[in-house]
Formats: sequence, C-alpha cells, structure tokens
Amino acid sequence: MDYQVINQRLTAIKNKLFRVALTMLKNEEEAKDAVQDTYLKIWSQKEKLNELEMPEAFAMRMLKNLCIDRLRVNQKRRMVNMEEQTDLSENITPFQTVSFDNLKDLMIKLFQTLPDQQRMVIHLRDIEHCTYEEIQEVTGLTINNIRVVLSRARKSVRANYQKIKNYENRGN
Amino acid sequence: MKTEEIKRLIEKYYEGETSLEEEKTLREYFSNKKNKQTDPEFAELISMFSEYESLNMEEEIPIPREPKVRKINSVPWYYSAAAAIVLLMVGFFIGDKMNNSDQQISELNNEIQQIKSMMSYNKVAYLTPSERIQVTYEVREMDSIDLETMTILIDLMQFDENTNVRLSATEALIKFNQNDLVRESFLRALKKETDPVIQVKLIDAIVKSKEASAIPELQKIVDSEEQNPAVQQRAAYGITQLI
Repeated sequence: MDYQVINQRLTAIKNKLFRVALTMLKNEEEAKDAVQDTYLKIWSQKEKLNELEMPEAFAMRMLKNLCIDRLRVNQKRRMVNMEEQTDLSENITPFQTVSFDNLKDLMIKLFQTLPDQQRMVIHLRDIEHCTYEEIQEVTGLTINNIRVVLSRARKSVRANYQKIKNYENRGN
Repeated sequence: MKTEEIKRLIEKYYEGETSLEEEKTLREYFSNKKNKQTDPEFAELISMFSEYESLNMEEEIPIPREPKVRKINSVPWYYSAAAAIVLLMVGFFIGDKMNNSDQQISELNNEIQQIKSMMSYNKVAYLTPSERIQVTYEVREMDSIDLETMTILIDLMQFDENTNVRLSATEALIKFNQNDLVRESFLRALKKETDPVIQVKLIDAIVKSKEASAIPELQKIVDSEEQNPAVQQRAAYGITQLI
C-alpha cells in the first residue's frame, strides 16, 4: 500500500483513537498522551506498515496495548490512594442539561465499573460501530466471547445508568 | 417500524445478539424524538453514545517523518577535495592520539600491578588506613573476585580497627553477594559490629542478598535494648523484606 495512503488513513482515525483511549483510561489528558504515543510508535516502525492489510486495526491494537500499560502503572498508584474511587452518584449534572464537557464525565461514569476488556468491547461496538471481525482483530477475543462480553457490558452500563438516574430523581 | 419489533430488538441488543444493521435501525428509530417513549432509558443511552461518537481531540497529532528519499547530489568537486583533506588531517590527528593513549594504558597497567601487590594477604597489615580504603575501591572496579582478594576484604570488613575501612569494605563486597562466603561474612560481621552506620550498611547488604537465614539475628537486634534505635528500625524493615 502506498505510504501516503496509509498516512491519510491513520490520521483520519485520530478522534476514534482518542475516544477509545478516553474510555479505557478515564482521563482526558492521559488519553491524549496515549494517542500521541501511538502515532509516534507507528511512525517509528513504518517499514512494517506497508505490509499491513488493516492499518487501522494495527493502530487500534497498539493503542490498546499502550492503554493497558498505562493502566498498570496507574493501578499501582491507585492501590495507594483508594479514596480516588468516586461514587457513581457524585458530581453528576442532570441529563437534561448534558453539555459536551460533562458528557465525557458521564460516559466515564457509565463505563466506570466495567472491567477493561468490557469497556473496550462495548466502546468499539456501540460507539465506533465496529464489526465483530474488527473487534476480534483488536482484542484477540473469539467472536463468541465478544458476544458474551458485550452483553455483560451493555447490562452493566444499563445498571449504572439506572443508579445515576435514581440518584438524580431523589435529588430533585 | 412497530413498537413491538423495536422492543424485541432492544432485548436482543442486551443479549449481544444484534447485528450492525439492527443496531443502526435502533439508532435511527430513536433519533426521532417522538419515539422516545417506546423505551426512554434506552433512548437516552443510545443518544449519549452517538453524542460521544462526535467527540473530537483538539490536540494535533505528531507529524510522521517523511520516508528517506535518496537525493542524487551534485556537490562541486572542490567540496569533495576539501573533505578529503580534512579527513586526512583528522586521520593523522587520531593516529597521534592513539600513540599517546598506548602510553597511558601501560602506565595504568603498572599502577594496577602495584595495587595487586598491595593486596597480597601479608602486606595489607602494613598499609595505612587510607591505603586499605584504596584497596577496597580497587575491588569495586573488578568484575569478578578471586579467593585471596575476597578473604582480605572480608577480614577488613570484620576486623579492621578503622570504621571507614570496615564500611568501605562492606560496600565493596555487596557487589559480590552471590558468593556464599561473602553472604555468610555479612552475618558474621553484623554479629560483632557495634558501629551503627556499619550495622545499617550490613543489614542493607543482607537484605540485598536475600539472605533469609539472617532473620533470627535481625530479630535479636530488634529485641535488644542496647541497640541504636535507627539500627533496630532498619533491622525490622529488613525482616519484612526477607520474609
């Protein structure tokens, strides 16, 4: 594949990568850093890139791995500071006035209780609308597994949503 | 589309059974505000998802480095000539330097020989404290250690009258802690050592070499009433590391 074409295709998925990173890392700054790292890493091994069928999936996989690395580092820190875990119902503004900024927070809260893998799968499917084959390419899960993980993730998100909603109603 | 049909699709959705097509159908159905009542909860979730989908990163991404293109260069001939002359001069310069460094190396060798001879067992006793410390510093530079040197170092660590020599010998030996003799000697030295600084250093050395058999001795220090509190603290910490 032509180098320029690959470049364009990779640059085009910048925002997609950012959203996935945000879902995984739950922190905007870190998500930006992870995306930057992904691109730097990709450009540094572009010889490999020419042989790839799906550069997007390659980039996504690389991003996933970088996110997991970051999560591991963070986990060590978080074990020290348990207070950081916020209550689902805290600091949430009513849904009626969802502005763009607290949409991010809201999504992070909805996904918060999900294990990393579930967050990744539900994001790829419900926000980026990836096919099962694409998700398989990125996560390495089998298609049957993806279905199971996805179902669990969707149900947990629904449960989290109900919790937040209930709290909001009590507040009003 | 019928409400019943939509409700069935939502159920399927939560089971992870919907196709991309069907999910699209759901999105389109609920993008119409009138349909929200079919399932308000699902409608809000799905609208949040699509809003999230339009979230962008404002930051610029790094620019890829251009692939290297070989340029056919047309450098004037006199540049090449000048470069050749410079290279030649550099060559002479380096050659000259090399000779010098040969000389330096032989000087260094001499010095090492001298120190080696200082290190024979009998002679160490006649050295001044600073020379004995010098010996321990030489050992630090070594990649491996022979039995004689090791014995000298262990003796210095255990029996030298000068605190600084004992400390320096301990530090030098830490590097060789994979050797059983060295590890045992740390423990022996710790038993008789009274200077807190060296005690702490020895405890560190023991912890570093993961010598679990030292735990009883460390416990003794912790329990003792005469020991320096800092040493006791270090010993207690050491026990936690070794367990």
